[in-house]
Amino acid sequence: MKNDALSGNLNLLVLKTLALGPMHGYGIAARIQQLSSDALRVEEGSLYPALHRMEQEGWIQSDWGLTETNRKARFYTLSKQGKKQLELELDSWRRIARGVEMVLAAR
Amino acid sequence: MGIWRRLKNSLGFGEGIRERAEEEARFHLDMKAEELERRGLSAEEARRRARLEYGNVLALQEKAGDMDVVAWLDALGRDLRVAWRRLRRSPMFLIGSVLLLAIGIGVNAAAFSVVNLIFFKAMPYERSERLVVVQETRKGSNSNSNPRRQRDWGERVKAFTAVGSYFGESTVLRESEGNRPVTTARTVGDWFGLTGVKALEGRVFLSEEVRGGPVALLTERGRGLARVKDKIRVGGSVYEVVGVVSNDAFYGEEIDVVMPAPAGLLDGPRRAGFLVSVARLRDGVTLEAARAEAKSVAAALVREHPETDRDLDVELIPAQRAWSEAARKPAWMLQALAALLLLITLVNLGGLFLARGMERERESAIRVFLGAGRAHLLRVHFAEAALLVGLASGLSLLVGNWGLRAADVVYGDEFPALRLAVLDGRVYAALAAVGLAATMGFALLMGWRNGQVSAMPGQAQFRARAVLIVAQAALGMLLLGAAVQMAAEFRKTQGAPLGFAAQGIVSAKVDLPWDVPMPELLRAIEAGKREMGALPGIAAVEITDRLPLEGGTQSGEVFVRGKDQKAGDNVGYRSVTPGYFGLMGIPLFEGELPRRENEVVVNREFAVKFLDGKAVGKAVSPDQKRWLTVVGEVGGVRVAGNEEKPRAEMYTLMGSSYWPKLSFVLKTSEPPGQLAAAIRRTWAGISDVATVRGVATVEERMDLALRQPRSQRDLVAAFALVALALVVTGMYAIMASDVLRRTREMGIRLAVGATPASLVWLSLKRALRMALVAIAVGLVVGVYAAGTWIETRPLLIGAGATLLAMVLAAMVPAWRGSRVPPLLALKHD
Repeated sequence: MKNDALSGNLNLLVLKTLALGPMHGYGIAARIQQLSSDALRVEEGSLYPALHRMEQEGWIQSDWGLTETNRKARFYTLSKQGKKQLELELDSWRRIARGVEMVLAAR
Repeated sequence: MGIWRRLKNSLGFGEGIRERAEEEARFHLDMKAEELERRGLSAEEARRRARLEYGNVLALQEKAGDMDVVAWLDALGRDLRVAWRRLRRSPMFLIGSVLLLAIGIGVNAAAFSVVNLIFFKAMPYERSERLVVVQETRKGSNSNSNPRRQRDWGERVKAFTAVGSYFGESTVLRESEGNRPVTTARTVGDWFGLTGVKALEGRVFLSEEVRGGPVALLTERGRGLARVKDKIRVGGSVYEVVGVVSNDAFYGEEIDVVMPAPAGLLDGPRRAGFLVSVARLRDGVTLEAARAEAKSVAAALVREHPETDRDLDVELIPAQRAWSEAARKPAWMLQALAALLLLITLVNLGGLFLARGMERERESAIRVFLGAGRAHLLRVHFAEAALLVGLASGLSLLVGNWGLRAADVVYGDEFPALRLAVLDGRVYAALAAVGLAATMGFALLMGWRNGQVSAMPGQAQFRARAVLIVAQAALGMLLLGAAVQMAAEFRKTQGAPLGFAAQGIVSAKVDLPWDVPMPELLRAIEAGKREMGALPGIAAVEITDRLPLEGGTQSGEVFVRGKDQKAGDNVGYRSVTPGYFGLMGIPLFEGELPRRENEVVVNREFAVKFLDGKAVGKAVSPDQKRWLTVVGEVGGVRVAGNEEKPRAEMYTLMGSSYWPKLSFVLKTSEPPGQLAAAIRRTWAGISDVATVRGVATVEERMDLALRQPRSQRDLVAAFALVALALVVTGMYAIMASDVLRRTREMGIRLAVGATPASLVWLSLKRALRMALVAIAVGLVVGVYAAGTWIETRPLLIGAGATLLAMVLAAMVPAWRGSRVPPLLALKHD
């Protein structure tokens, strides 16, 4: 999947990934890539701006922390507001996915 | 949404987003590179790939940030904050560049405001380009007109639609509390019709009032004196105030009250000369045609009035040109100097930017590595430029204002309109824009250079800059030389003997109007001397027409009996009471003091110049009709603050000629402040029309008289200091970047055993070479181009000071360069 298509749903993917637990930026990108079996690759150049935007919206919070290898990194956590946003975005995604499915299934 | 948070961030309350992003980016890059390495890439290749894949994060962030105004403001605020932090870390650069910009902008704003006023700004009169000064001449030299001849020009030269003028007069306004000194303008002809100056309030003079009507106008300056429709009493006559006009109505002259000249004066003798007429050219008539017509009228006047108008000729000069004549050349020179100064400051600014760009190279390299785009680096540089120009603009206002006020003090007497010069807002904005453009240009250059990570300036660049510094230092040296010479001349003038010793003497200036009749003047002189002498604490009272150092009063030709030829021109005529010499400590060398009207004393300069050194017993005359016997010879006193030697002068008895402006000198132990009130009361009783213009010790008067030469000296000293500052900043900048460029070389030398001192010497040698070349160039230019003006000694002093300044400026970076630990120096690249 190309990034263009991905970018519209980046918020959803990030929120979903963070719902699995706190993570740093690099981890988020790696996780998305891993879970999608390399089908989705998040370009770093859009990831960090998205993270900052979402933080400003209040959906996620961030703080400095240490990685397993004892390196300083910025960790992101989903906030309460973020959980609500995730559900909203999931709903809308499912609606769209269903809609697209129905169009494609038409004969 | 998010506006508050963004505002908070941009104001600096939030965490530094930029720093955070950079740290995150670094972490991300590291992780990515490690992963790639795990997949088998070499460390170097892994890092390169990581960067490639990472893309231009910062640029993208900025793109995202530019989406709305708040974000844009946010970005601006952030950039300015970053710029300020960066600048604060380089105080030398910050102070140096702000000073340079402030000097360049301020001096040019002041100079151009003067040039603008003199050459480009229309005079505050209606269609002022059609106004001409009707300058009468006799045998090639300018002479003055009078109301009758002015009327002839107006009636007979058909090319003129109107002729008029005014003359200034110091007189008194009678108020209930006493006399108040005012400066009046007496208009001759329809001045307001001629110039189109309108009343701000009320009306100007009606045509039937132009000939001595009992009406007056106040200027804005004199507004507090009365109200429109009030009756005022000026110089003994009563006038009705009919309106208020602008201060500009007399092109910068400080006037309080305006009245038509009295009718009697308008019909006065044709011989008098106290007016310069102004005429308006008829539409469609060229200056040449008008000039030809005026000249033919002049020829007719010579025929009709052979007695009074002998040798009369006339010249028409565009008014603006005529009024600014004396100031034109100095103004251009000032502007040329200022422009040169701007050029030099900009070159030095470029040098400072280069040196700093190199110092910051490492930081910029990190940013580039992190993926910061050129655009981002440029933005930071631009923010710095804007900040610098902003700071400098504030400071330059002070510089510019000081410059204008200094110019006013120095040249205001010759060109009163200088008072109208204000820092022109548009000129100022244009200059600030030039400063901003130049600074941005340098920033752009630096940003571009920094974009290419390791673009170190080479030897060729160093040479090019060295040539610039040398040229600048040579120029600076000449300026310094000139300054030293002028300062020395000033000191010589100031140190020259005054010719009098007036400690503990108080002077009171008393003015009577020019139309006070001679008998009344004599009565006032006598009464003043008598009644002031009767005041408590006054030991003696004497009178002079004007105190030493305050200029001369009357001067003219002098003839010596027994010689047919005129002995001299412009010889000073003074009037004093005989006791004046003793009171002022002026020595009587020979003979005695005058006691009769036909007796005079002359000063030694006069005796040597005109009387072969033996004055007593000889007869002199101003006109070969009235002969005066020289009864004594006194010491000379300096007439003006900027003249080193006394002029040849002759003293007549006070009252033997007409001069209604008196300086009383009083021997007293009383402080002048307490005397003033008593003196004013005394004079209010003596005369209706006299004004006491101030009571001060003679020393205070001397100090005031020296104000102009002192300002002149300060101006020159300021220029010299600026020149020195320029050489120092230029030298510092080039040496700083040279030392940085050669950090590695220094490190190697240190590693193989060179001492820090030898490294300092290495840098100093370069500086010294530049200084010597500069001095050689300066000497050649100084000797051949300006040789007649700058003397050798000041030139050498300038050279020495320049050498010293250059070496000292080079010392700082040279010393710093030699102190770098060898290992750090080797790691530098």
